[in-house]
Amino acid sequence: MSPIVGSLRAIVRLVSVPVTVFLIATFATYALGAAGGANPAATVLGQDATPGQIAQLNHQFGLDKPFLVQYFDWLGHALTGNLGVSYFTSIPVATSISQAFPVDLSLAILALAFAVVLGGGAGILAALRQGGWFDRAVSAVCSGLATVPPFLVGITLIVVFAVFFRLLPSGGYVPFTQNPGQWLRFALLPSLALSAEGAAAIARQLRTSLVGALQENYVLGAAARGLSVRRTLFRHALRNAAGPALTVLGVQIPLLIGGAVVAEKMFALPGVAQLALQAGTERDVPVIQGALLVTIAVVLVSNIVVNAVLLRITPQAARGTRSARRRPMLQATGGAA
Amino acid sequence: MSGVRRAGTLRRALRLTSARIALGIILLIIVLAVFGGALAPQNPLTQNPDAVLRGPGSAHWLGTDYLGRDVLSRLMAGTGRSVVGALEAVGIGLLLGVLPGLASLWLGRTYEWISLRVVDAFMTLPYVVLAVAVTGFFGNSLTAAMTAVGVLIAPLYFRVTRAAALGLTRTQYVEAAELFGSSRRRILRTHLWSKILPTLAVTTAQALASALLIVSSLAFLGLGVEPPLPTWGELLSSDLDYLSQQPWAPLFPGLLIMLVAGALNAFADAIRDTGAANDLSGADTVSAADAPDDLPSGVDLVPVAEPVLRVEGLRVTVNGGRTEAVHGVSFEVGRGEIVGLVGESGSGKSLTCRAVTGLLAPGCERSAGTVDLLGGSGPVDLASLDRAGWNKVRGPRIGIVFQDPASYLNPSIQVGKQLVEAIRAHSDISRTEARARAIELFTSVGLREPETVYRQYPHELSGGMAQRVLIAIAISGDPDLLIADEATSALDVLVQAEVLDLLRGLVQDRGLALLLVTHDLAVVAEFCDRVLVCDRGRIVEQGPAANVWPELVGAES
Amino acid sequence: MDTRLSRRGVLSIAAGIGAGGALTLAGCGASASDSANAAGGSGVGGTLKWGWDLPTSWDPIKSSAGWDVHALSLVYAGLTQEDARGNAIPALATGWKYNADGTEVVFTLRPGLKFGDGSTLDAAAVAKSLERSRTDPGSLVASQLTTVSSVTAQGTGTVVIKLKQPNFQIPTLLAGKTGMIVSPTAFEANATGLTLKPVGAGPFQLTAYTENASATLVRFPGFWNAKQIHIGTFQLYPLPDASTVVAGLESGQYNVASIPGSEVAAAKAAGLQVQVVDSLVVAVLDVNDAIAPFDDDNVVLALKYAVDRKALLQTAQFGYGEVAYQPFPSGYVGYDESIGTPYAVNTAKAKSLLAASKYGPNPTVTITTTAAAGVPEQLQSQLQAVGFNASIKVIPTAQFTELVYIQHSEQLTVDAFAGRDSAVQAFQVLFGAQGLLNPGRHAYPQLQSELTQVNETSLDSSKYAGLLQQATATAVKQTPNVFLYTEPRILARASGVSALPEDLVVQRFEGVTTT
Repeated sequence: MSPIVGSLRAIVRLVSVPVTVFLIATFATYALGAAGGANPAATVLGQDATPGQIAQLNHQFGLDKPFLVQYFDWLGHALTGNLGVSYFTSIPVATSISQAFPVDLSLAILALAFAVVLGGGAGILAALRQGGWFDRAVSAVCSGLATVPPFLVGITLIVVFAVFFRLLPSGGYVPFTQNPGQWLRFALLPSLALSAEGAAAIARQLRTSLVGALQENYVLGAAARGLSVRRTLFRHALRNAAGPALTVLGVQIPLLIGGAVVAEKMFALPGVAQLALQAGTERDVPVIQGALLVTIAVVLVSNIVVNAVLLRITPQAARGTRSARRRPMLQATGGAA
Repeated sequence: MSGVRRAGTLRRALRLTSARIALGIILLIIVLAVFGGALAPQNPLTQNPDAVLRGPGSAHWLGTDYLGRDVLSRLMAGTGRSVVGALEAVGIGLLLGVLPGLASLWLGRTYEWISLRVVDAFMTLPYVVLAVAVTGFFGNSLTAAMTAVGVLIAPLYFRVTRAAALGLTRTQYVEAAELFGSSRRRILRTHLWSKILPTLAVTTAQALASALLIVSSLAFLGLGVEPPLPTWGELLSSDLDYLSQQPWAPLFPGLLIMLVAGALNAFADAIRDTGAANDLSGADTVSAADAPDDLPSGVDLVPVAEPVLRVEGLRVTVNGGRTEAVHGVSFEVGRGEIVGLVGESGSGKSLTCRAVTGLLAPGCERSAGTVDLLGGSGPVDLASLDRAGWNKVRGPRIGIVFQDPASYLNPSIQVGKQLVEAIRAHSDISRTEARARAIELFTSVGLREPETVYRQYPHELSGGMAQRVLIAIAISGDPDLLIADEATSALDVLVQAEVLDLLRGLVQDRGLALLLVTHDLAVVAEFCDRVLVCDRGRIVEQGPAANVWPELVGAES
Repeated sequence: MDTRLSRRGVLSIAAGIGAGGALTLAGCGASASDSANAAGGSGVGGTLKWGWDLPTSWDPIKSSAGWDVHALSLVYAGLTQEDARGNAIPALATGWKYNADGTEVVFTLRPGLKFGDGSTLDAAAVAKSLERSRTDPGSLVASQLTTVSSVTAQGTGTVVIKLKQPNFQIPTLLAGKTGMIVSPTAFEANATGLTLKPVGAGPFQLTAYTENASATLVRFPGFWNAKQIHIGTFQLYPLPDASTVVAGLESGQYNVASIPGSEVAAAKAAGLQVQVVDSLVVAVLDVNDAIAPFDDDNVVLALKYAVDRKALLQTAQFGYGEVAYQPFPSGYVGYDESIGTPYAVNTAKAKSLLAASKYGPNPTVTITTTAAAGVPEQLQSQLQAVGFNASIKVIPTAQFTELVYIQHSEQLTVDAFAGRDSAVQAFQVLFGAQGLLNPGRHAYPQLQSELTQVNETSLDSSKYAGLLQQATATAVKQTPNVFLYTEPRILARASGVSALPEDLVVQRFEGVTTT
């Protein structure tokens, strides 16, 4: 196999999965939208419309064409960068998305930071004090957070910080680029609310895998070499325990972008999820598809990043799963050396 | 058979208090789901315009809602629909997830690839958009919303089933069954279900919990509401409209949801934990703890010339101090001497060795006796060391080599770097110098391509190579004492001989004291200057190998 | 109900659709502002942060929600406005004159007007803008201008509108979204750009806009009535969630917000000022008298007697608003005092009417709604009390228009009518043979002839009010729809903001000061 063919194959393998996922996901939503039996033109035109006008507008939207034609029309335009225009607001979908996405992104980054710091810290301390009161407190809080209806977290934060202490605004948004200080004031509560679930998941996962890692021989081995506790913990135990927690983190990212509907609703945030939800209710297909596009891109990018990080911190795990069938060969090489 | 197994797991799970409480809550909810409407103190649908939004009181224990209906009765009567809703969702998820998940392993690679992509695709869809689309399609009914949730849960089932089945198809008995010509359906029936069902039970408990939560979120967004009998989620979301009148109102349905979700999760955890514990139950346990009927009498300390290690009256307790497993062991190891510590598995030799190196497992503790390092840079009372003190001893004074060497190396770091790390932990040399020294050490332990080995990961090394690497790390701090804990036991005979030769060479070249812990009498007889025989927590015999086992040594030589 | 729906921002559009399609109203501030102005002072400045809603589009002919008129009125002005009671008064025009048979109306423009982009607002610009509203293929207001045959400029100060048939309602019609004047320079250069960047001649100019988030506007000194505008900066936010709106007002995130009736007590307790402003929005049950069981007049009548409007009002709005038996609030020109309370709740009568109907004492009826909690649940219980075998069907908001207004497949729908700029137009939507809120597609000849008369009567005529009220009485008697209660705008404001003008149709801000 020549290197060119090899890298071509690698590229095809890399691209084929996201492309297929993208096609299936967009087609599925398009189909549901079409099957939903809504009449966008009628909804747009409102109470004063005549059937003629409705038919005319539906024609303008291209909704009188066969379903498959509609889908491939959309796909064709999307591939050339034209995401279309909202049925309802006439705003180009690309404009809406480019306004909404930074909101999600900046909040998601803050929320992820919270999740990693709070969840990671709690998970590590719980694992080190396994069975102690802190460990039990962490698992109690985590199971609590895992079972709280998400909007109760938001409401509680609002009632405590916005109403009772009046420290922070109850909702709204200021872009980071406009005023970082104000952005932080507005982003703090929703990020905290958003991070709760992730922090709990990370804490649980990290505790479990760290407890496992701490029982591993290599940790004993590190101690036997006289390495310090901190070094043993961070370089040896944590490094190997972080994999599952990172995977959990990877799962959280799409939930933060495009999936944070309740938080966005609660805190009046103009993000992609709000856009998607509103479009979903109105069957505003171009907007749904646009929001979907972003979500899929985020999922794929976060997958790639998480995998890259995983590969870096635990190279053997990635190699092991990828080449399960080739393992005997590797052993043979090792033995020959 | 599988039924028995599962019943066993369940029974074991129920020994946990948390699991019992969880099961109690779940049973209570089942009773409420079936009889909730009948048990409710008042008609949950009776409106009373004169008593809207009342607080808890004697007439209405949990108060009334915006139409004057009794909240407690509504919560009780709503249990059925909440539970049925969650079951619907999970049922759909189960149906859409499990069979395609299994099929993905048997219907060929094309189907596998496509089904994996479909699952990926559904996982990228924002769940609310999907729920909106589904409710749009089927109407805004609870069933429609639950169908959406079911579709969302399906990928989870798909993956869990697939993972469980994948693990199974790789196990030998399925391959064997296939070889013996069992039909696949038979394999599925006899082997698969018994393995997958516990996993599915855990997943289902968790999925039910998340279904309850997702339903409440959807209700908050106005999806899947079907009056007049509410689900808990609907109660919760309608309470939010009257938050300023009744700020405490969302607590009741909220706590109920939390309680049930928590119970389901706790139950799942209990099943999984006991299942996992079950798998571990076959592992070796310390049998030295068994109360001995006829205690052998221990031998006294025999002093040696130039002692490096002196152990006196060492006692070790296990099980958190409840049982004593080493009953007063005393011995010395001298410079340039190879001492074998032998005994059957469970005789206390490993515990002794661990106590000497300060690496006792949690629950095990040195209860009496002294352990001193002598010679070299001054005597150290090992018994008094804290972790930081140990870090100055392990490496520069004591080197340790273990059985199953690869597992004592960090799987994620190149072995050369692990050696460098050990070198630099005990000396202030630069990275480059440390690297050069690492190559040198690798060469000195007989690794033929040290540069290549340096960059390899533990899993890429053969057992013998890994042990050489571990020895290189153990001697990197230039210790006085090397402890080899079953260091050659897992190696094949040829490699074993090579490693032993290496160790002997090191003792001779560096004047090391070597304490060789093993159960292999042949090795001890051939290799050691002196033997300590361990039995049921005591040293029962000691002396030169030829004295201890004249017949054995004679036969060997 | 509007605020309840909108609480789930999902449904903020529904406030326009379900609750009244194109709420094409416009209003005025001139008279209302005089009263509010007293407290004012002459200084200009301060920021008003209004928790209300953002428009679906900043282009008035593309805007698809009736709600939008409030936001659009911040940036656009029309030839006319409506006063606090919904009567047309001069705005960009100083006045108008109809020809004798009502087929032509001539508006006289104020001199020296400018758009926000600096271009001249003269008769030619007005004609171009109105012609665009009327003829642009994407115009959602064109249907309201079907009686107009041409709009032309005479010189720089006179606009002539020719009509296909007599219609004295044009000045009211043009006071709303339909008549908002858009800068031709802007739409000729980039028609789609208006969606995000409006160019009008209203009291404010848009400086920043983020969809679903906020809009920032600054005072436009070129507004014809700018001396009445004291607010320096205007920030517009989407309708806050009912559960957080008071917190938002307390924390200073908004200083004026629309709140549901359930939050009034909390708002007052928090030291906020609360104003309950009458509006044209009225809750209504759309009754389909073309399908069983409402094809029997006895059943329709039983329904009207079965409904306890006061109880529904209490549930929906905590009693804020008025019980309604007709489509207009008291004080509006079309409101007929003589109607009284014709269908006060009467369980016995409803039962006997049902017993006399061809469907017997327990006809089956399905109540259709997009959100079941509250009024629909209570209605179900009220209908069950008189013998109806009533159930509730929840339909997705996206299907509301299709199922209720297009397919007419629903028996009984909980709806709200948002009113229209012109009373005749309101009648057409509610009771016209093609009217969307007439699911039975019933024609009412007597009502039609009365409406034709109204159209042909000048708004200034002394007979106008009487004719309109006669039509209202006829409609209430003959048509099956059940009006329930009015839905006022309930506005809570922080202490730094002076009282707001209480306009029936469009919320305006003339005279309002803020610190």
